[in-house]
Amino acid sequence: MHVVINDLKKSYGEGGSFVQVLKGVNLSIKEGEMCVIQGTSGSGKSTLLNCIGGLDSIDSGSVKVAGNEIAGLKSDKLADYRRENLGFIFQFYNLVPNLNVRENIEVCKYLADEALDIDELLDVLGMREHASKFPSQLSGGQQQRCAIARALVKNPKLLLCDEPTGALDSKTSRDILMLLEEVNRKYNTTMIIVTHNNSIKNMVDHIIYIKDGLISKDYRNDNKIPAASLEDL
Amino acid sequence: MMRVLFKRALRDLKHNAARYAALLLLIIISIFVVFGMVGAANTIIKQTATKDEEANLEDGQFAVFEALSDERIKELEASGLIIEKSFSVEYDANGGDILRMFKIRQKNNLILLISGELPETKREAVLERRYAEDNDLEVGDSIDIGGENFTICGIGTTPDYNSVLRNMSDTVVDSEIFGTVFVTDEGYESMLQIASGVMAEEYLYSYRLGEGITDEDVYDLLSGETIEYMGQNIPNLTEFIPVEKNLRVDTASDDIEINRSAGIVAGIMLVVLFSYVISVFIVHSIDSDSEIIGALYSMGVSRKNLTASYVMVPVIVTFLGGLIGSLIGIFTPLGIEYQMQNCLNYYSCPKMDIQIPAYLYFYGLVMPPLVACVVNVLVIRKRLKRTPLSLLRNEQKAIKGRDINLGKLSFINKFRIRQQLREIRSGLTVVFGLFISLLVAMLGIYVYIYCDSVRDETASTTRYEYMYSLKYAPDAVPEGGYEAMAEPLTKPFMKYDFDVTLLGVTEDNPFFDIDKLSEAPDEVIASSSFVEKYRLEKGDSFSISGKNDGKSYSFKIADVVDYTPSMMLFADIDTVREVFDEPAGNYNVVYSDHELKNIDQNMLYSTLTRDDIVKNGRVFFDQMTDLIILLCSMSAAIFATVLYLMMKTMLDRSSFNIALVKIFGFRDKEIKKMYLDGNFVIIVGGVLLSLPITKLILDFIYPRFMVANVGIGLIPRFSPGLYLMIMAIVTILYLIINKALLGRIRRAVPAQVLKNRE
Repeated sequence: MHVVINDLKKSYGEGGSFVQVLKGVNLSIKEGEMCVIQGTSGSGKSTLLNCIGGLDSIDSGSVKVAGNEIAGLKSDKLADYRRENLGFIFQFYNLVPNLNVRENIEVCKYLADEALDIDELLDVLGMREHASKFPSQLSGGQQQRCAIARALVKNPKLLLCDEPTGALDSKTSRDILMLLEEVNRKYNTTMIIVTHNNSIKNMVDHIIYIKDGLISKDYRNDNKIPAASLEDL
Repeated sequence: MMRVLFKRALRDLKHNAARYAALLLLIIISIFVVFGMVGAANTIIKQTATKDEEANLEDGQFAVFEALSDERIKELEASGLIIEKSFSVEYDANGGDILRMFKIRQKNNLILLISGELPETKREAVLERRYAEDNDLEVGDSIDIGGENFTICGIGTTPDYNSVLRNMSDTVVDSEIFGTVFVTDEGYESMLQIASGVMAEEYLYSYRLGEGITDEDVYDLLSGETIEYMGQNIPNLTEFIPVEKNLRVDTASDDIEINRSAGIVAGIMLVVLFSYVISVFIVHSIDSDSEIIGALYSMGVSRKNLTASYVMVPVIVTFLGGLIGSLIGIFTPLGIEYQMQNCLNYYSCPKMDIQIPAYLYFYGLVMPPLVACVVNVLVIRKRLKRTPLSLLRNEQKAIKGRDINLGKLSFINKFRIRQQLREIRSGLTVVFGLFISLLVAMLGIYVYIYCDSVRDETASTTRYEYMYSLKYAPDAVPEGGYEAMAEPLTKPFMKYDFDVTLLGVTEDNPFFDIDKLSEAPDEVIASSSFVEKYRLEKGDSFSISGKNDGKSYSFKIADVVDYTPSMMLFADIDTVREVFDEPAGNYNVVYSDHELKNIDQNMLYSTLTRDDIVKNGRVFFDQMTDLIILLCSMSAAIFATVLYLMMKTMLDRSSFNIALVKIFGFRDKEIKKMYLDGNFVIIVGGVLLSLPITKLILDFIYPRFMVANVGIGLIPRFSPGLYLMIMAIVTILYLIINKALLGRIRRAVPAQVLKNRE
């Protein structure tokens, strides 16, 4: 298993504002799997993603990625963990505004010992001609492609995507999902996608529902369809 | 709506407490320094004028070889003058000091008492303020003057000794060893009878001009008179000084005038600085609140209400800063009082009431909030010209220069350059703040080097132990002494006339570092103090006037020798005698490396020892130490505050990006390199740019305005080590602030930042 979580608990606040967001989550995701986590607003899906990504501390339980326990790691060790293992894709792209496309990708290339070739990635993502543009000169879809390139350049073992199509129209969303599909196939990257979109689950291997801080459904999709065939995006 | 916006503003204040506290500190420092400098200068200038009038300050004074007869005085008075004898005798006092004794004045230069009363009996005396202070003497104490015991009945000042210089040619005042004392007519006469002065009685008269008579008229009336002396007719007038040329009068207000100008200029520069700092803040606030503003704006909140909500906190903070700075300036010993004390510790000024000009209140209380308001309104108006949708999307204009092709630079370097371009406004503010603080620091360092050089060079270039000025020269030069012929000359600099001595010396005189005396009558060897005052060089020609006869002389500088205590021109003694029609063999000064016991005291005009001269040289340093410390600490405080504010703003603006790169796995040290360390290049560039500019500014200002009234010239020389020291101090301050801000990077929680963003 690539990601194994046991009895993960996470809360915020104290006294009257105390909220138990994750109440004992258990799950496991295989290497190379595309996994979708779905749930309503406030169900705890983004918190779960942050805990897997080492962006937030956990109260108790265990989070193992590629066999390594990340619960309790100090901030420097967590930085190393993210550096060596993870790629992130966000809903609002989060590109560095004063760096152009190539330089935004270089930010993450700098972190990897065996990074992918930026030009090859730009070709794969159809961004070659936009390499010297700044984020504000790009459409939403182009910005998300740039964000994907940035996440992939260090060839991460695990790609965490938080609503990757949340800010895009349906055509662009489909393009992005096709890209993710291709990346998964080409680089065997494990992907965890947090989304509200009900259609995306049809293209992935593994579907997890979370409700009120607990896993309510967890199953493998035996009838997955290509991203190009997805409807209602 | 306004109530809600007001709450938002208060929460902004609370949330950004450290930033506003630093801004508050910057304004307090700025206002209090300007208040102190300008308020003190204004008080001294205005009060000196008032007190001069109260004390009937003379219009001029003259000294004569033989006292004028009563008839002659009446004749002069009939010409429209109010004349008063201001005779004096110097006595040894208080175990080794010199006190110059006068009678109580009735007409001119009246005593302004600070404490006590005027004397009534012959062994009561009023002591000059500075001497009393430096010697811890108070009303009721006793003091030995010329071997007689006097009771101090009062302490006061006279306007003709605002600067208590013993001789007009003295470089500095040393009130520890010299002062003036005023006694009754009986007391003065009885001292003449029973005590021996250190030099003969000086016949000096002060005058005030009546209707229709000028200083030139008075000079004309006096200059023609001659007396017979040693078989020769010589002019009776030995000295004529109109008040505006008198280096003892109103020197405090002359000296502090530069502080007023400097204070006003500093005030303007500091206002520009903190306006810029505020504008950086507000741009940052508006940009980070863009979505909130857009939401409120789109819901119909008026531009006016939004502006008011953003203007409120900076206006309140700047008003408080101005108020606190003004109050510190007026009411605490750190402000006006401190700045005045620097002056009062040197000059003999009367009691003064603090007098603050109306524009200073405007500067301290109105201008900071006004500037904050105007800057904020302008910035906000510009931002609010955007559509609500544009604000909601937080669309940002392209940053100029960001499309610069950075070629094959390494990633980190490329990133740093992009970051600095993005933060160009903050970077420029840091450079500007650095320039202002370096200007203040360089002034402090300039004062330090000047005073230090005067002290050291005075000691190293004074080689004789005793200098005897003679009234009458014996035929034979006293054994062990080297004779010289001193002729008093005068040369103007700015609005002052300075004494320059043409000293005729013999070839064997060992006390001046002269290789070869020129025999040409128009060639002199000039002291370094002379050439550096008038910015002359070897080979230059200049003209100079005789102090007594007003004749003009032209000389060429054949060589320059190191000599600092006073301005001197050296020539062959026979040539000087010839040029000034002195009898062959005559001399009026004797130098020696030991005390000469065989000199007849009646022939002496005065005796000056090396210890006196060296002590004089040290006075500058002692007087200026506090000012040097104040200037350097102010400079460091301004720099550190501006640097902290701007670096923190840069970090705040980049907080999301920092969180982002943290998410990607960058370590804190790498983030520091990317976001903070680029500032060091800006700072080094700022120092390299500012140092030569500030040095040039001070090279121009310092000799012309700061020490224009000092009777010597000395160009302070900055060693390379000093520049390195400045760079080291700036670096240390930078590193401290960098270290403090690194904590903020460490504390940034990526998930929280992402959540806030969403």
